[in-house]
Amino acid sequence: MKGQFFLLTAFFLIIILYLGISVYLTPSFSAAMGSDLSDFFSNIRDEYPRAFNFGLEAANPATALADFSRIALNATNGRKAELHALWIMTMNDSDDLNVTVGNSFGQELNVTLNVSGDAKVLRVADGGVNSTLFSSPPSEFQLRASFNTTEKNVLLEKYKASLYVILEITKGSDRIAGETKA
Amino acid sequence: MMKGFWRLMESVVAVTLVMVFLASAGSVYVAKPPETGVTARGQEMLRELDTRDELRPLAASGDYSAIDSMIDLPGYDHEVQICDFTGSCTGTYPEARNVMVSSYIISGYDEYEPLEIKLYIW
Repeated sequence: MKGQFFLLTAFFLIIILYLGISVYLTPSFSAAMGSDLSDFFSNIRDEYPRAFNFGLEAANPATALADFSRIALNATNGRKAELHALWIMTMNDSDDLNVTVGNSFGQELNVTLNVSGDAKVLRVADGGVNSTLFSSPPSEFQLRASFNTTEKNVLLEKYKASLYVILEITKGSDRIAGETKA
Repeated sequence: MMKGFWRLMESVVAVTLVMVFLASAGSVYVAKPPETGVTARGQEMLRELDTRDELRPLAASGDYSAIDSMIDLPGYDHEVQICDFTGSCTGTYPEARNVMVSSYIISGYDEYEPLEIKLYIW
């Protein structure tokens, strides 16, 4: 009888110690991982407008954005995380508006673009870029972009080259999403 | 006599259970646990250098030692590498154990030239 009591006590002790240690260890690890992901997200988000401006100076903004998206994707994969990014660039073409979309969402997307009431659907391959032209929009226009379950609205100017980026990084149960505009 | 024998066996099993648990739980503390807060501080330092407009010109000119000299992490050694995205890096990877890495990506300084600044901490 004494032996069984000793055995039972050992079992209870093991269970209590395991519970105590796992509670102590887990929170600080996931909090630190969340902080690293947040810093990395901010880094990528803040660099998109810079890549765009460099591209404008070299007269190849779409190339710069596509290349930077590829770099961001590889850097995110290196951190065992997933990046989803969609960038939309607008530039006037005389009195018309050229809208270019770059897709790093991991799947082909049908992006519906609405420029102050004029709507078009643009199919963009994963890792690809596609463009369309809107005829004579107003000088200041509302751009609405929707794909999958996402819908975003932004006010832009026709005669100013603009960038709008939708960004999301996930790692396990951590997820950070946001946008940037230039 | 048999009663005493079984009591002894039960005690041996109980002690063995506790010893196995302590050995496996103890191994968590024998190896140094990863200090994930340090990498966040490293990242923060690189970001601060960028905010002060000091990081990019040094990265663009490949001056990894100047960047390293601006890093202040008391209690830790550190080294910096600057890498482009073709696999080419300036600076050295430290010969140390348990090396942690903070990294910061820039798209360029005065033109589009993406680089990754890696801060190794140990």
